[in-house]
Amino acid sequence: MRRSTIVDNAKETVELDISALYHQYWESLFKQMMRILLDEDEAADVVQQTFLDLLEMKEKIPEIKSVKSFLFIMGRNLAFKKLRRKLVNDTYRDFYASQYKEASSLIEEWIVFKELDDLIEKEIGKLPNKMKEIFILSRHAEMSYSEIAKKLNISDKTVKKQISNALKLIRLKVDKDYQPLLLAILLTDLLF
Amino acid sequence: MNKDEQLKKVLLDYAAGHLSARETKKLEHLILKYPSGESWDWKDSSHKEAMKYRIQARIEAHNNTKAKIRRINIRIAVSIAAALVCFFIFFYLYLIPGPTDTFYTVAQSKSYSSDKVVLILPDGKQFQLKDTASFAHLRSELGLQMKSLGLENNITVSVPGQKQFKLTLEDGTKVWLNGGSTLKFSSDLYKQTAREVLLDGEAYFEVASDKIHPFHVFGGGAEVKVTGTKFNVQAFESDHFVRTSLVEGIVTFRMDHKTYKLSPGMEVIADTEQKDVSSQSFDIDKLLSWKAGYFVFDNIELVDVMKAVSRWYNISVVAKSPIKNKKIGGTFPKNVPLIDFLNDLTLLSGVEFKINGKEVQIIN
Repeated sequence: MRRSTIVDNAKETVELDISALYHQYWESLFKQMMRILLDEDEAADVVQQTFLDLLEMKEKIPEIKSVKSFLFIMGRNLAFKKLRRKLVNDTYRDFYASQYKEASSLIEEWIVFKELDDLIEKEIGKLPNKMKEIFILSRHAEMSYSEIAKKLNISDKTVKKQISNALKLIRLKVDKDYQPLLLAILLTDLLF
Repeated sequence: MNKDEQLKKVLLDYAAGHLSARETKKLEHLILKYPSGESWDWKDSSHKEAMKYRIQARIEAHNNTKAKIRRINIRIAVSIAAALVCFFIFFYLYLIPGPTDTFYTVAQSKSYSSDKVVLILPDGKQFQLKDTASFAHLRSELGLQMKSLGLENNITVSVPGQKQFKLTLEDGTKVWLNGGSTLKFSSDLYKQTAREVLLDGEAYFEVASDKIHPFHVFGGGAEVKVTGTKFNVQAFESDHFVRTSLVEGIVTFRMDHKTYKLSPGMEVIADTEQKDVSSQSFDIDKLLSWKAGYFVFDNIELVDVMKAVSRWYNISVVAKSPIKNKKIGGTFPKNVPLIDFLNDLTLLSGVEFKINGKEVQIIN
């Protein structure tokens, strides 16, 4: 998704043209925030904050590969943070729960996810020790292969191999209980 | 548990932070996949344009404030350095021979002719007022001359400390005056081409809409121009400070031939001596808490807290040594005796105070 946007060629445009970015993205960002928050004022707050955060990062902009992705990820994170704070309140929680379109599909998919997730957790517990350690670092601590390699003082290659073996083992176990079709949809989502 | 209950339970776990990072990610993914609500869209193009402009204005305002603060910081550093040099010279020349108790003034009390709200006529005659008054009634009651007295502000309303006052002008404009404020205006304000008032202190205005006769508030060396709107002004002549906060409508702030247009929820803060202007968003409830009878301090410097306290209780505030960066946050009722207020402030800040007649000493 690294299409060239205005500032993707950041080397040329060191000066970040925030107003051009705003014109280009504000509306789609706003609509995305509305989907999450259902409130114009709150969506507006998030859009505002997202652009301000972007400005704050101005100096680091050449390192951001896609300003567009940055805006949307930042915005989404802020919106979900806001949503979480609202969901603490019973009234808001009831409101949002009633608002989710296809709420039953949402919860059904969630239940399947939870079941599989629990199953995978159980299988991870049965992995050989070293493999388990590496796999958990990758899955739970979300460390990269090279980070894990550094931490455990082993080669990147070993890490890669151990993880791929772990995946194979888990897949084998889980396949027995679940239809492969379902797995194809969910496993990538679950394991990473 | 049915699906509806299950969904609520998951949302609660999510809100309470009981989900793992992976579960959180999955749920957020599902929320985006099955979004909520009817598909939302703009009502019309002006709805969209208004929103676009509104967010953009706020981004720009914030961005400018940040740049401003950086500049102000440098200025503060320079002033601190200068102050230190002065202090050491002073210390060397005067204090070494025999140290005596010297205080410097943080805030100065004012002298009021009365402890009541008064209306003062150009000839010096004074009339006591209650909590609220309408100028039209006053005119008939006091038999004020109807003849034009020119553009100068020839009627004065003075509100001493610990009092608040609501005045309805003849054009229907409502003005709430905070304690320690004066408002001057022409006796035939409503006939002038421009409705002009002069403020020293704090006031909240609900200006009656009249596009032909714009309403101007002058104070602290700046000017606020409106047609019909709700806004709060703090104009402290002695502090060279003007803060204009817009609640509703449109306001133009002007200082030294430069104008700044405010949108609701934004405020302009001006230092009329340093010629410095910055803008930011504000919390309406906190700002207007004074009308409801509270001080709301939102992490502000003790010096500024004491200035507000000085205005309300009409006391001078002095300190032995400069008050170091001490931030105060909290809500305090204004209708309590000074001693109770200071006791609360001590509890909160650890700073001790001593009351000496109309003077409060800050003892660190």
